[in-house]
Amino acid sequence: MTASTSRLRRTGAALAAATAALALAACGSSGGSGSTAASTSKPAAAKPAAAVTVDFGEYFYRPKLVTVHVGQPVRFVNVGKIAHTVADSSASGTVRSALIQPRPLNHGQSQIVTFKHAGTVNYLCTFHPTLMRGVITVEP
Amino acid sequence: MPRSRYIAGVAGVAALAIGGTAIAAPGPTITSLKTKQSGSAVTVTIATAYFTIDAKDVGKAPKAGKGHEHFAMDGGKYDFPKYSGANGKLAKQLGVQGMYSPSVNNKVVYTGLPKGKHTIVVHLVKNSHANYGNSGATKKLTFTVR
Repeated sequence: MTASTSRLRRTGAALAAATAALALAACGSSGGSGSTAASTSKPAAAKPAAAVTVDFGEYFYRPKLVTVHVGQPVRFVNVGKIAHTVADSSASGTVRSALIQPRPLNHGQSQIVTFKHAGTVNYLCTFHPTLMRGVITVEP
Repeated sequence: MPRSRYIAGVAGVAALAIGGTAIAAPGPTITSLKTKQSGSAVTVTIATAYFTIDAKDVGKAPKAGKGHEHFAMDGGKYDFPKYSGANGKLAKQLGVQGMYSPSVNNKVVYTGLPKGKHTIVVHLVKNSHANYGNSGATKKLTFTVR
């Protein structure tokens, strides 16, 4: 193998990885890696970043930890059987509802939220506050 | 044993088994729903059977026959702190104001309801807030505020 062939292969692999990351970001994958890809990939100018999806049900948010940028939507989707909510809270679990207004979401219903400022947002289900909690890291 | 008598015996046992299934314990039931007006306050009270209030486990995994109650006045129109007090505050915290007022003591006091007819619907619900599905777990009453 020549040096130039090796360099070409490395470049190809890098391109493939970048394409995969963009694809995950574009579809707003609910997987942990998808969320990471969405939060770390740089969107094209004037195009809003793709939404990151967080599935929830009895009794979980998945993924539990996500990272987004200011203005990037987070889409919460109820894949469970009963109603749940999403509300921001203190780290210890006191409901604040200052950034995310809770409303009951039945199976298949979703709520999209965005954040104007960087920081850490703890959230929970007001119906099941001890069972369902998550964290969103909002980067500039 | 003659064959016909054997078959009759088996059929009898089967019938008993089916009968046993049919008389399984009923689900949580609201046995009465009453309102009492005192000035501008209307107290809505229920009595229940086959149901235990489990205040400390609200929001946790369901347990058979346990849970709490959701009161909805006129479809939730008066389920706000202004009307249902502490229960309304809890509704706001949960994000269900305008839908129902949760209760863990068989009653909710509504104040400031306008004069005229109102309809209260009460649901017995599981710890998870999901309704009990049996018909007896929901009761409705129309009354008049004077």
